[in-house]
Amino acid sequence: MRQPTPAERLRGHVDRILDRASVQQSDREELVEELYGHLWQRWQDQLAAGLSTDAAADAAIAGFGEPDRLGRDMTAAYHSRLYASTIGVLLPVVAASGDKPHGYGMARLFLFLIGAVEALTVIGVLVLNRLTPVRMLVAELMMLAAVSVTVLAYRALARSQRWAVVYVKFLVLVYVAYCVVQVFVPPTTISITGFLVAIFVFPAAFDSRLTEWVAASRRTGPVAGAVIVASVLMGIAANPLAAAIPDPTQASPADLSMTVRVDCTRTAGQVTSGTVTATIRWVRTDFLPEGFRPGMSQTDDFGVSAASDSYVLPNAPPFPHGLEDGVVAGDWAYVDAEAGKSAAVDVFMLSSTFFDTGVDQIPIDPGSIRADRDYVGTFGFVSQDPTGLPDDPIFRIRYDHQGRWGVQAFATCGQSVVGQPATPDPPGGLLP
Amino acid sequence: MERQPAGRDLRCLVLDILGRREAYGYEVAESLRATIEGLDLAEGSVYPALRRLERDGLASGHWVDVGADVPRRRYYSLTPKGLAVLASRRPAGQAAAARRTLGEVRP
Repeated sequence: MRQPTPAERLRGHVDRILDRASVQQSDREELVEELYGHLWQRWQDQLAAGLSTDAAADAAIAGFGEPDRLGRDMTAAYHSRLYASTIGVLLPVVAASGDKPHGYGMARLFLFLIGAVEALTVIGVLVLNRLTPVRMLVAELMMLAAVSVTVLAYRALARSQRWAVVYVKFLVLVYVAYCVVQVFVPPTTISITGFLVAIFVFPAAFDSRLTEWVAASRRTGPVAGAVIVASVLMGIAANPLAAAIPDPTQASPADLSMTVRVDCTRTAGQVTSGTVTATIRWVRTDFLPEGFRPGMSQTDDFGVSAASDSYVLPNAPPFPHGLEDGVVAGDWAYVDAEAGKSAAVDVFMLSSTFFDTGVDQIPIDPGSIRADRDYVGTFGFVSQDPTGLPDDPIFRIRYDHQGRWGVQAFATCGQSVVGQPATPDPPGGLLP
Repeated sequence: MERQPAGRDLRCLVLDILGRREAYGYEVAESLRATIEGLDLAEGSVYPALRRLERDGLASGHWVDVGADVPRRRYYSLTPKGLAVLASRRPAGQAAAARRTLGEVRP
């Protein structure tokens, strides 16, 4: 194998320096000439001093400095300190020489598609999601970070940067792992995306020729590695993570007071009819509870037990709904369970519109809620058995705040009960 | 222990050298060695300093052909802004920077 000439070695040292620098191509061409000129002159001086050809080249290269350090300094000379310490580390603007290896095209297409999907998600989070303001901000920042790193990786791959290949490999592994999990964990599904990634992108990303192609670039250190892992995770988990964080712009159970009163009418000691009244008052309401997308929200559906036919009292006229100015009636459903004689009434939500049917899910308009104002819901009930109910019914009045939290109270005849914070009901409701 | 001057100090020193005469990178490195005894200078580090001065508008460069088979040289000279900065730094600023650098490089 032919050994490089001293001139080629000098030129190689210049390339190693500039491969580690983030400079524009036009600046690079001038720098190549200028730095090579320096090394050439030093080489000539060392030759004149009596060193051999190779020793003179060695001395010139050794005296010029380490490529890593000089590359960083050169980046800092052309960019701000912030750029040099962040993007400049990840994206040296140096075009790779020679042909692209096998796997390069597929890896780059993969990054392009991932970046496009992430960019669309950034828009989607803003336009379609119902995240509250702080949660939306967090989700957007996470997605922007993810798409930024993907765009950088897309460009860095074209410049044969090692970290871009590491990024592709990690993304591919995550996709394939997700695909496998979906296949084996119920409910079993097959991810077409994961399948395509496994078939087409995995072999390309892990092709040894692609790895060798970037071997000359800077190694992926712990900082770049952390950036890669964090950006991938942020891209995947932006929405669920953002949805889980507390948002101080939203109301909490402490911002709501609810009082439930049950008045019963008796015949021969048994309850034949009555009225349930729930008074709800907000100290503070949500700020943009559905994010920037206006729309309607739904509460949980607790349903009505089919086995409780003897006690089910459909919410229908002529029940005395109170509908005065500033008073809003809710939608009620009376449910009785045979065991424990417990009955439950779910107040799904109050609205400026009175709902007269016993539907299970009541759309609400959070924008219609005002703080420091009483919202009163009344519900009259009558026993289908004219002799009355054998036991006093217990009513559960529950307010569900868009599935995030709830306040509920259990009350029976003659009681006036203050609601307490409650966790959401399990799927299917409290009743069997 | 010998140390290299930090970036800011190196730029001050290069500014001082260019204030005396127009020079190209190799000459700047040689001048630094001649000026500061025991300086452990990575010669390549003068180029980021020169380019930074140029980016900041304190120096300007131009190419000069010096003969066949010899690479061109990029000569740098101070701009009026660079001269003004140099004047404002002398004697206190520049001299202090040089002394501080000297202090760092001497054992």
